[in-house]
Amino acid sequence: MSSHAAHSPYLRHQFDDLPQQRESAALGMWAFLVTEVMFFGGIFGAYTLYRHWYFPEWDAASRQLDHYLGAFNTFVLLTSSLTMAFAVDAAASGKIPALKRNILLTLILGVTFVGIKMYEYYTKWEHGLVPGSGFHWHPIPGTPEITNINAAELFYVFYFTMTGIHAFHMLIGFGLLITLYIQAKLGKFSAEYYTPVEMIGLYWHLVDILWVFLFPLLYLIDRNVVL
Amino acid sequence: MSHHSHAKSYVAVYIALLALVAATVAVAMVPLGPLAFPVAISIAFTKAFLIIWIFMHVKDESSLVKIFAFLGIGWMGILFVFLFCDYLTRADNRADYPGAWQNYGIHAPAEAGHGHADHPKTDAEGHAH
Repeated sequence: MSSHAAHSPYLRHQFDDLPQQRESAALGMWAFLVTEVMFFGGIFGAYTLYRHWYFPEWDAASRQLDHYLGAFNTFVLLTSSLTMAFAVDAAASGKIPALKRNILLTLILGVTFVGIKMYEYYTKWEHGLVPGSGFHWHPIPGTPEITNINAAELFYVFYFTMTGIHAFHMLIGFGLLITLYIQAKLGKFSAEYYTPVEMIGLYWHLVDILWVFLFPLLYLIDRNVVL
Repeated sequence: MSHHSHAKSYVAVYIALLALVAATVAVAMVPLGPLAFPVAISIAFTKAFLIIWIFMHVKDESSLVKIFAFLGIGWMGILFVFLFCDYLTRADNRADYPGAWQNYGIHAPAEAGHGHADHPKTDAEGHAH
């Protein structure tokens, strides 16, 4: 197989060769991912400020979250990043069955993550921790009392906003993975051309990275009670 | 066109990531006091770097793509530096300061209506209810 044939059917006419075409895609994708980082950056900035202002209240509010479920979800999402990396690797080697298998595995793990997230939302609803008129604070016995209940409610505004936007990104990822699977099935990818697999892989990994920060910031604020 | 598989290094990174998850949960259970946050965030940045460098194969990209990949963190750094140059140096930043804004407006219900009549937000809420 001649590498990067001048008349590759995958080469768009505005590019000199396939490596240049691929690098343009990678650069554009990273530019988009930087805007995503900036988008979350504003929320992380606001989080840090309120965390600093309402220190004991946010400690107490964070302790209401199930950190074992959070840790398990982190494990699920990191595993889905591994299968996504395997998918790109398979595509680069032209192994289309392995590509399809790993896309499916990534999708299943992603759905598992969102399923667990929905279960967590349900338990928060049951415990009256959804911000709004239904918000009812029940302190955990043996932990320090807080008087500013609204500050604890604010923590849950951030919890639902941050995890909600993250879960929304996951849903978009599901659509992208399904599209990739169909394209792989239709024979659109080969060892010579698999850029869409790579770019959607980058998106999936970024969503994973966001969770890597959300998990300690929301679930692990202060698990040991220092009185 | 032969592709050298990266599967082995992916598995190695995955194991390292799982070890870091275990470490960050374990560390959260230990009373570290003021060190808890720096430790947790350092572990998160280490995990993010491993994912960016190996899973997102920035390691093998051109310098231009490398710069783009880390620009987001750089710009977020600028945001945080200026945000906290402001807020952390404010006199009314402490909860015990009489003029601290968190003593206004946002109350446990029983306290609503007490004092702070000079603050417009309290007034507005008082009239609303």
